[in-house]
Amino acid sequence: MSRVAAVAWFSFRELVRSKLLVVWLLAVGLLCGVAYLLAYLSYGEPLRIFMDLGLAGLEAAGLVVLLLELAVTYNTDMEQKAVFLQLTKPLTRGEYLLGRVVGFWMVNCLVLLGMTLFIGGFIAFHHGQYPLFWVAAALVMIQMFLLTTLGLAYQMIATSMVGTVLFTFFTSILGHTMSQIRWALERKPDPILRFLLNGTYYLLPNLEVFNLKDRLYDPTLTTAALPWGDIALYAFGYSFAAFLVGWWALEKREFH
Amino acid sequence: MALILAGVILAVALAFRSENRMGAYLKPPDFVSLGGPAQAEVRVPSTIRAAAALTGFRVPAAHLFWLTEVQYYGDSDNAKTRYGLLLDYGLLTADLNPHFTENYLFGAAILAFHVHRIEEAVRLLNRGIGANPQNIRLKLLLAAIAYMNIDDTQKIIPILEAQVSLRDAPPMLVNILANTYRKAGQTQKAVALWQRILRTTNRDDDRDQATRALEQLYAEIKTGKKPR
Repeated sequence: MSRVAAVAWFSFRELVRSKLLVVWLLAVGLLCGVAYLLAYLSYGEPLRIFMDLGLAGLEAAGLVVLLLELAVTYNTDMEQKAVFLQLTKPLTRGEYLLGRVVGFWMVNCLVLLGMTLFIGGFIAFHHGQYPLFWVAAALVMIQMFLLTTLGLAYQMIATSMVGTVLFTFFTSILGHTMSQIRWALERKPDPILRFLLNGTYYLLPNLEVFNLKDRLYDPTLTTAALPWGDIALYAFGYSFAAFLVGWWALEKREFH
Repeated sequence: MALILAGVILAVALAFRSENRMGAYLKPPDFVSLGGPAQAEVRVPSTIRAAAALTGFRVPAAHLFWLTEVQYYGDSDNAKTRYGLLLDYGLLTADLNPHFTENYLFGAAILAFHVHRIEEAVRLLNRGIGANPQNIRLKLLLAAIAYMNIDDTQKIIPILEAQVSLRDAPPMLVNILANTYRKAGQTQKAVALWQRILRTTNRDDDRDQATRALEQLYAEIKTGKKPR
């Protein structure tokens, strides 16, 4: 475990040194600023609208950070072969990959936590009380863990940085369409379309599990009503499967 | 390799089992059953709505349409068309965030009391009540619109009756329906409703009001005078 922690800490420091935290400043300044403007140009409950747009910005910022992490590390690890230095050390490829996952997620959480505290602090300063905001932010962080694991698995399989980034980006988009895909499958489409939809449905993660920001206005939704156990199991199960696939790909990969 | 494959299969099976147990939690809002064929009649570009619905940014996109709706009404140039697209913006916002009640209240109030398009106001409010059956403000606004627009009560009275027949109908709503019956000349129905209030209420204010209303109605029936 200490080897995994060492790789995680190294990954964390490497990404922080690459000035990735500038994204946090941009996210707070740009995304939160735009959310503030739009909320106060609107009518009725501006604080709530600010919270909703802030949560959207939170997810967007997390995705941007992840894509940048994957792009930067692909360039240094795979193309400049810095990964050789890591793999010569006394650690297995599985430990290396797990450490990378944890390190990437730590940086992502740092940015997301910073934004969450900013938005939550702003709401609290204006005497707003939205307890589900913190829950929604926590679910975004869990979602980013799953996407981080998947993104790194793609990185181990992909042969280009662009491929890694694009696969991860489109997975995060398509992951939100699972309910609509299921709706389309219930309507019994053509066999070819059904095959494609089934493939998408079974291969990609259902990110709607973590999407609380689209449900905050549901009057029946409470923290107690959330299926916490199933959400945690889903995140763990899918992440573990993605990690195993990435580990296998890394074991098979030859570095020349 | 076999171990990894077994691990992947087990992990995926665990994930799918958890996902299947979350059926009710994962069910998205049903656009079709809530709004009917509104989508086919929308005259504003709705590609953003489609994109938002598919990418998990439904509520933020709803807020953008809401902002557009507010700015559309705030632009005096649109008065030339009597804010013809107001219902469309309202329905677009409702599609994406059916529980955002400000949209229904704002849109219906303008449609009913400013531009006098009662059918559109009622349509928007019905959409809101369908998605938010517990919200009293929407029902009260519907009742107020019915009360102010006597010519259209034949269409609105059945909707009010449906709301009043629910167990937790607010007293003010029942009050408005009774007065609407009276204004529409359906005196016997108004009498029956006030009698029902008198029998079932445990509030003195409601009892007093029902008593006064019944006295007036009985006097009108006796003298044959129409209500003002």
